Amino acid sequence: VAGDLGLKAALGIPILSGDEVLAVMEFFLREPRREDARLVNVITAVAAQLDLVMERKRAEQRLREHEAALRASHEAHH
Amino acid sequence: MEPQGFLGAKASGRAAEESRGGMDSVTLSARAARLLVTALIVGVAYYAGAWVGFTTAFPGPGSARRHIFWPPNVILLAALLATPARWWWPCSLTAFAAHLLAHAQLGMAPAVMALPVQFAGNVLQAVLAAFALRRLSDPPWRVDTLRSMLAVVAVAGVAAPALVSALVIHVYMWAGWMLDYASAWRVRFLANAVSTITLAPLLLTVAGHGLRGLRDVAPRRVAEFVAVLAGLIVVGTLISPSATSAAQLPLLYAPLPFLLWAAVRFGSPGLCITLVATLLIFVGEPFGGPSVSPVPADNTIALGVFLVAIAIPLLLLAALVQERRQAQEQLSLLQTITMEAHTAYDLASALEVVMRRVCETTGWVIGQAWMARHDGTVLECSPAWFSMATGLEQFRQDSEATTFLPGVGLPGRVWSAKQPVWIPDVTLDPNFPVSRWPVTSD
Repeated sequence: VAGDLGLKAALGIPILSGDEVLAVMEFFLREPRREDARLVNVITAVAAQLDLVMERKRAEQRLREHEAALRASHEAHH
Repeated sequence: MEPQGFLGAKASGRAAEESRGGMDSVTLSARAARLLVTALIVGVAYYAGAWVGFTTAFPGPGSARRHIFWPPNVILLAALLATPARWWWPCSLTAFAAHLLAHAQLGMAPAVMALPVQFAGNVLQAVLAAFALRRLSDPPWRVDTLRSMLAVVAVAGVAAPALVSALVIHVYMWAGWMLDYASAWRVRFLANAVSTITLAPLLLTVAGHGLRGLRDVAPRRVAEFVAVLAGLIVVGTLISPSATSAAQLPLLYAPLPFLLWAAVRFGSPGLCITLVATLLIFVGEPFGGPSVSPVPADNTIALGVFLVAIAIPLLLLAALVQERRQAQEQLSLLQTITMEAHTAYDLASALEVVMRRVCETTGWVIGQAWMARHDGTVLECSPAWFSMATGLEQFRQDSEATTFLPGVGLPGRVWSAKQPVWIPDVTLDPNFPVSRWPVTSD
């Protein structure tokens, strides 16, 4: 049944960092469905957490780079 | 604005060809078999419902019967909601056969010509309610929120039976099959209201989800439900044979604690089963039928009103409790995802965790992520995705080769709007590129 394979309802959620969109998640259902505000709120709350994850990963990366630079300059001194 | 990198007509043409290739005679005959089985199930269920309707009917004036409970119509409604509209004719045909058979074997209509009128009324009532419910809540069988329960009770339980009863009884009066309009309307309306309100949430749940949910029920829950039913039966033996005098009618409230128990603990489907059990006790069914009912036969209207009046608030309570429970589950989902995402190695794996959890717990079949390219001009498909469905490989491949400009397609719209976008049906959405229509249909 070809019609059964088609995707119908769709939901897109932005992952924001400040005012910038880092990524967009999209989800599909196989049947039409009206907006479910509760579900959107839950996934949006999760997306907000992902922003924090991103920030932390970036901070970790910066820290590693900084450490490497420090170590390099330390070694250069000796 | 022209979308960049969209797959052209070539790709969607190929998908269309593939889906046509799959529609060979095997799937057609399989579909015909499914239709036949469904129509037969509807016919058998309609007959069984009519049998219950006749056995629970009180003797009326003369040879007439006063139905207090008429399940065939709510069975028809569940069938119409669970099947595509092009199946309604075959399902109605088997139901009509069942209607004729039941009346020939179990009880007579006021006239032979009244049978098609009765049945036309029953189908009209089911079709009206099905159309209204499809408009008010989709999917219509999720009777687990206050809103959807209100829609089922108000539309299918009250409005459709009230309207169609008026119509059918008008025809009866015009044909001379009935003399007392008000009383005939009340009997037909109440029998339909009682059966729809007590059965619709259960039947719609079964029609929409099947009996899958029953497989994961813990033995302790089963035991608890058996305890509720046992309590009802004990109460039933206390009230049934003796409560014939008006002074003992308050005993009809005795099942209430068990009904409340079911409403709070077992949701609307569990409550429906206990409501029907209560109804059977009230009509004296376990002890020999309406002739030994605690309710006098001339009080069937009062009994119908009483049943509707206790069933509606209990069902709304059950829906509220279900809604609260869902909110709690979503909250704990949020906590789980957050913890998992924090331990993820990078953003892509964090995204994948989120999409997997969301799909698994809320039933979305595929989740994909789109990331802004470094220069910030387009959205690119991220390697992070999750799907628990088969047959979406082509859609995934097409997505991987696609990019979106701001404002174009679903990802582009979310990107520009910086807030969630919900599309109820992408095949009806003007800003959903046709080339992305997944696994092109028909």
